[in-house]
Amino acid sequence: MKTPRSPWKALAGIALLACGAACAQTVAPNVAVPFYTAGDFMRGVYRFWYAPQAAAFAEQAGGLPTAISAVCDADAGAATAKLEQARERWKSSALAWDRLSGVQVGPLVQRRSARQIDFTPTRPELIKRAIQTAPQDATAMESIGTPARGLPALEWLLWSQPIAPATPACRYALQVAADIQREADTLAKAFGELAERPPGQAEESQGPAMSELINQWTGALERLRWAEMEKPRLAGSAQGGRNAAAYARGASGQTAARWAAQWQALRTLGASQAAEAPRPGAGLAPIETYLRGLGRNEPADLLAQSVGKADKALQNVSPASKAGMTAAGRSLAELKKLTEAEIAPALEVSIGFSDADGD
Amino acid sequence: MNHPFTLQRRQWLAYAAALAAPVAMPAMAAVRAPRLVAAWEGKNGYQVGVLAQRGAALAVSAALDVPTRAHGVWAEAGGTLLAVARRPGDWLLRWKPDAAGGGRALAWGWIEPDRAFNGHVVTSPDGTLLYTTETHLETGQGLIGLRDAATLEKTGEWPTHGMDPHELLLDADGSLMVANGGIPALPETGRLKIHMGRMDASLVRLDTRSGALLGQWRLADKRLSLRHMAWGRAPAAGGPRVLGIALQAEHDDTAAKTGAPVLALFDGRTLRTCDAGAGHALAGYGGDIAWAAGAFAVGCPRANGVAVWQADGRWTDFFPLQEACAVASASTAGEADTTLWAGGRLGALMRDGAGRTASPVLKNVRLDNHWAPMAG
Repeated sequence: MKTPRSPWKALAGIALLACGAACAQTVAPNVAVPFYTAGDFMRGVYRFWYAPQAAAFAEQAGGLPTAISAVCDADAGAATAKLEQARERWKSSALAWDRLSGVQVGPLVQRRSARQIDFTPTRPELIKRAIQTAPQDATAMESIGTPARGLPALEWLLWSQPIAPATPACRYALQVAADIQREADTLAKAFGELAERPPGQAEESQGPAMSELINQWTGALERLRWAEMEKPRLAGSAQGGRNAAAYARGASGQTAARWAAQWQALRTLGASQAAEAPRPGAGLAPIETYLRGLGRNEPADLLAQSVGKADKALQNVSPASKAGMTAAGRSLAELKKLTEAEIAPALEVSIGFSDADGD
Repeated sequence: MNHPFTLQRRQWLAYAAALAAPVAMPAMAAVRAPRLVAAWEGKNGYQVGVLAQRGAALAVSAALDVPTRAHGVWAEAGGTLLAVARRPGDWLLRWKPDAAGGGRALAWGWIEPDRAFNGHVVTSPDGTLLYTTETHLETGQGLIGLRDAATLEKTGEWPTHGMDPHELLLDADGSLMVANGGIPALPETGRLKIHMGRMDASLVRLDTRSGALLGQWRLADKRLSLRHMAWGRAPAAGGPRVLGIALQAEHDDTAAKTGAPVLALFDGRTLRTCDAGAGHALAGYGGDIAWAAGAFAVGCPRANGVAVWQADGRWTDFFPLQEACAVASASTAGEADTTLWAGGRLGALMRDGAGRTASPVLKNVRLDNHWAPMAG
């Protein structure tokens, strides 16, 4: 990956002026956009998106074991209230995770975190078997298969077959919660370290990291459109629903919230939400702004428009709205196509999901 | 970053102009295009469908929308068609074209939660089973999925003794040849390649009565991924059929990747690579392979052409075609495999054993890797 070596400020303003009102970006057209190296771009992404999101997830997940423990220790009169509190903590943890994992890079990929704590669909029969196994600590949890661990398993234990005080299921739920907390802490530490890396350190290694982010951003568009929204609907309607796959977070009623959180990650990393482009290292420069800094205003405009269109389509989308899902799916597909055809080439990134990757 | 297309496109245009203009129409009149089943990206998304000759063009005669990009296609004996999602895929489809230019989905098969389709399917000789290449998402190990041909539902699994199994073909003795592409990846994040030092491609032969491993062969160059396969015709002297395998180079070094071979041959005992002719760099990627007009033809999209070798591995020729990838053989006058059909970005290329060529335009589709002639 070659990074253009122009002065650190590329005067994108001229082209932005030419773009006029048709462009959806919010960066003022007469403001010069700084030139960002791949290292600047990734530092901004780590510091102002991933590290805070990972910290938020760790904070929420940190309260999960306590909340589950309160259910397990509750007397009969308080059990229902404690279960509700545990459910609320699970919801806030799951949303923080969905936001963090909306676009998976770096430690999320290396640790296969989604597989570790968000394997869907969860397998009730494996959860029941794991309850009988009664793991007592982290080491014992390692022998439990991922389909019986993580947020989906805990969702099943809180909604589908709710845990009751002083039961083996409750004690297992506590171990599942502790497992999620450990992963959240590890991710927060890893992203925190990436965010704190000073400018210039391992700068040359940031080209691949930037390329990974663009690839994963593209893949996340497809995941949201297909795996999250359309596949459950199509698989459910084909062959009399014999192969139906439930929407993720269906048991807790958090499906729409999950989609919104995932889209928030995509939108934030994709297009500018700010009136001014940040100085390198001083704020999050999304892909659109990174492109402008490279002087690539035309693809940046297209990206801003397409993200804006998708943003409208994704407002209030839920499994109950077939028309809304169709429109959202279409806009996500268009955005993915644009990314493969215009955005990735403008950044000289080869998309692993595209023709360029062979097969 | 290299831009091979920018440079070679000019070369292709010059070749194409010289090749196509004088002969396209007469040859098209003499050799009618077969109906070709393929997967493509159209204006409004991904489709599987059938292309047929319309004047001097290949045009869509039937199409069915599919939810994600399709890869392998297979024409079943009864006129139905199978298509599989590109890796890591989650659907398998049986469908039938209709007279109105559309198609009807007859059955969808969905992958199990901890598996992914790898893009190819074949039917068993008696038609009761389907074999699909798959990946175990927890371990990354390759699998052959055994599926009831009627319902598409899984009835069993066999290990492929490698990672990333891609295309599979039955041998005449009933055994199953599988190309383990060997590329380590994280399917749950898409197609992200990881730990390439662990790459381990191999060709395996499995016993279809038990799934037992009957043999396994590897190339000396560990960064050559074995991916697509075609059987050559049995030699007249009664020797073994040769299996041609199209390769995908995964070298870190750009020069090594660009100059890497794209064809390997397996004669039942030895697996070896075949070099391109002098002056031809095939950019390290063969996207499809067919035995056609007495030779192995490999679609080389990054080199913008079709590379051709004889059955013994001797280099024959290179036919320019922009982003050539899909290749298939078709029959002429009842004689099998006499004509090569190659599909590219904007057009196709027909070439028969007598050297006649035609270059029909390809309308409104961006082909995926493969196409196959329909029976009848």
